[in-house]
Amino acid sequence: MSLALHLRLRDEPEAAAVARRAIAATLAGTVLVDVDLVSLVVTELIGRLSRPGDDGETVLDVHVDVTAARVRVHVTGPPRSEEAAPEPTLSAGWSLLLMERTVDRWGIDDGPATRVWFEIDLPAAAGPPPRATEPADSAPTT
Amino acid sequence: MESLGTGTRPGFAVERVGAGHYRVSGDLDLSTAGVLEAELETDPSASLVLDVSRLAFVDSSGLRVLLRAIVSGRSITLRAPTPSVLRTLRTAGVDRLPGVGIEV
Repeated sequence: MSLALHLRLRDEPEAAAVARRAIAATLAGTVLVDVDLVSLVVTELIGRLSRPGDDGETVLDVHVDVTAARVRVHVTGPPRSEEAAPEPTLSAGWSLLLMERTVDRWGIDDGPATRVWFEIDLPAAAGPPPRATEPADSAPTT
Repeated sequence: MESLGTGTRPGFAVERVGAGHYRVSGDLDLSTAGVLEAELETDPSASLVLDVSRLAFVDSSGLRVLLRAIVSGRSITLRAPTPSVLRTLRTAGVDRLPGVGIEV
């Protein structure tokens, strides 16, 4: 069994709220998934990646793979650049802290776009442990 | 309790119900944190009480608003947080900050 959500979000202040509603609708009834936790981390990432006013977009992909017993999420935004990088802020520090303390794995793929991904393991009762192989375009951090 | 004023955005509201006493409802995130911040900045009370029983969501932007109030020398009591909000507060360590009280 798997569930997937693909969402293109205009870079506007309400983007994270739109994403949370879509996540709640998509994952409704999937008792194994901690929807609040996924929504929190997605909100933090959209807040970091989106640039309201630049007329761009942020892309959210959520994939629930019950067979692999995990939720994998990608949030893709514009490429990072030193010029565009905001000054470190308290909320940015809290974003990282919340992600570090709540997800099982996460990483950043820089390229033509900046893609931040994270994984949350589902409860053991969901099925066998995650597969050993990772997608070729990701680099899990531990 | 009588409402003394309200700041709202779609999906969010902060209602002043007394001196330093507010009811906060909806989602407190990047798009709404400024509403709460504006309310708290203009309140001279040394102790703030926020009824967050109808606050469904808080992110780091919301936590920043709370911390700003604390840094300004005030105390904050958060009343009746939902389990989801309470978990975020605890994960971020807000519940252990001096000047913060949480009444579950």
